[in-house]
Amino acid sequence: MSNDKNEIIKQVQNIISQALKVEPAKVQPGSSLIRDLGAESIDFLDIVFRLEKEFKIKIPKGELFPEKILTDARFVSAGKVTAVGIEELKKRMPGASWEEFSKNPQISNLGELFTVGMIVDYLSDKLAAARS
Amino acid sequence: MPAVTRRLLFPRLGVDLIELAKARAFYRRHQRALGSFLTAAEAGYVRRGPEEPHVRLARLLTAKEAVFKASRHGAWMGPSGFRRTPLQTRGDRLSYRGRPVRFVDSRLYIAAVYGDPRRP
Repeated sequence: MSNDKNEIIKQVQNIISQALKVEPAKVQPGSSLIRDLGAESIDFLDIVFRLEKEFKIKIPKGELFPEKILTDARFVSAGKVTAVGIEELKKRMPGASWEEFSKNPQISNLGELFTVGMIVDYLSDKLAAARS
Repeated sequence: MPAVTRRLLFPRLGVDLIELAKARAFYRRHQRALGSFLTAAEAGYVRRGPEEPHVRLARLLTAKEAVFKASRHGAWMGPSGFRRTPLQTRGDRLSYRGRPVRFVDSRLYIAAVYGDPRRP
């Protein structure tokens, strides 16, 4: 793992532990923001603003957390993400654990796929793209 | 009982709760960013009295969650959902598509309840 990525991990751990008022040690790349760290929607907003400030970037709506898909009839049916929807989400969140989610693709389970590691990967890619 | 009557009597409910301390901390840190996820009318509602701005913000955010839970999929709204659920402000009241959002206040929390008759 590169020094850059290690540094991003430390910064993200710091931001999330402050935003959610949890011990930094609890904020691990595999931690789910909702299930493990107790994040609510207002916390996601808080985290996005803190990341923008810390990394001096602009995070367009829906880019980090692609929840807009959840209100798109093409990707959702009867409270579940369709196969097409899962494929679309996989493109946006390639690092997520899709195997478990695919067994019971309830929309309400999707939030659990948002992990600390997903944020780190997103930032690594975004900052690398900005540098190049 | 006709379906229309049943829906009016037993609307689909959305309920949400927000901690006032969390709303206060959020407002202090991000008050300049309100316009990025609230409409101009909503931001105006937050800033005008008689309550403190963070209390008004708490009402708005929890109301939006309650509306989302009642009228959409009843699942996780996510951060951009605050923008996609515009509320009407009339004096101190908040409503969505003409139906009021009701609140229960306590010292530490505000709870919002919204009933959507279109979703039995």
